[in-house]
Amino acid sequence: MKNKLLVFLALGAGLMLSTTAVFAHHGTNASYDLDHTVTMKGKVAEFLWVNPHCQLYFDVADDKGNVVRWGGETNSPGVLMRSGWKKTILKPGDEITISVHPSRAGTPVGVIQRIVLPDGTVLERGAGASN
Amino acid sequence: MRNRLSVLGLTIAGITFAQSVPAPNHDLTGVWRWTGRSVLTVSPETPPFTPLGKQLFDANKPSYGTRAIPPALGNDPQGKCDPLGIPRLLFYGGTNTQEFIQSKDRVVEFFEWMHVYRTIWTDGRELPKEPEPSRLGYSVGKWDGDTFVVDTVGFIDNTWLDHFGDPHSDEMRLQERYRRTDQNNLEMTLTLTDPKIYTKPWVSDKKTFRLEPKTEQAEIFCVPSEEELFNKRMRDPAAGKK
Repeated sequence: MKNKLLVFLALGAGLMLSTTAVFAHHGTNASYDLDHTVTMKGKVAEFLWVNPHCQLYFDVADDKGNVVRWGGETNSPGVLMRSGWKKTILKPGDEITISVHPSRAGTPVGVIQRIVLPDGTVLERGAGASN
Repeated sequence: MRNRLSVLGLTIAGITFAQSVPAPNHDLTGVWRWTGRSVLTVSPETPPFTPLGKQLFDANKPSYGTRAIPPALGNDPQGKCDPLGIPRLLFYGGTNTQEFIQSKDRVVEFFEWMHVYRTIWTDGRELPKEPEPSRLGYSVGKWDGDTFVVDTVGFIDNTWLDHFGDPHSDEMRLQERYRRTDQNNLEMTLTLTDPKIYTKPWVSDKKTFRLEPKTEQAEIFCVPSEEELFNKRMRDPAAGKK
């Protein structure tokens, strides 16, 4: 029994380790600082479920009440759907916690790494992404 | 407990069986995803450039690899949704799949990224002597034992060879060799000759693909109008471009 379990686990681990090449089309990551992650609480303004890049625009307020409109880019709908995203998963007004790699230029734009939805669901970036 | 053991046993048997099913004869049919960590071009080592090759290479400003700059500041034709052409479509990595469908006189290869197909003629015809230049080239294929050999000529020179801005000319000739090692695994190698650009043939490392029997390719067009909006709202600001 124990041997069979070990074989099964080893096979499973082997399958998981034979990863696909990590890759992001459009060389997206050249614009962003991959060594830093910024995590913010924001409110969804607009979620574009479009090819070839889905985009999330969200508002972040600082403690003085100034609101900055941020943009977050991510993968195509086809790729995102494989990680559980869908067109209706983010709606205007949703309060989210979002982590991005910010732009190297210091502008309020980033590539999305992780979103925590109002109900606690966690969305990760998407299969086969990141470079 | 006994049921769980049975399930476990069957699962292991299933996995073992799936790993060793032999390849169907002369059949590449299926949706395939790149596996492993091969570099996203012909091979890790680019052959030496001719002077023209170096000139074109320097003019291309990619957003991948060691010369990467933000796409908003580069000139990758992909940024305007220009068709990628062959062989760049072959190097799309694991994000998107390739699907082969075969009929009596041709093999058609569908690329999920950009929703593009190319035709590989298998009716025994020769390569054209004066092909009409195109982004995908003109391809003929034939079986050599268990290897499917694809020869392509007739390229237009306005596509990038890969994501790193390596160039090619209209005299590029390509040979791909596909070998399905079992039901679920496919290997590809390719040889590129382009004496206008590279001083010797560029021979690839081995690329590997895995069958995804349940995957249906998604519709992933690159939409120029949406790309333009994306550039304005996201990519340009990301590069600090006003």
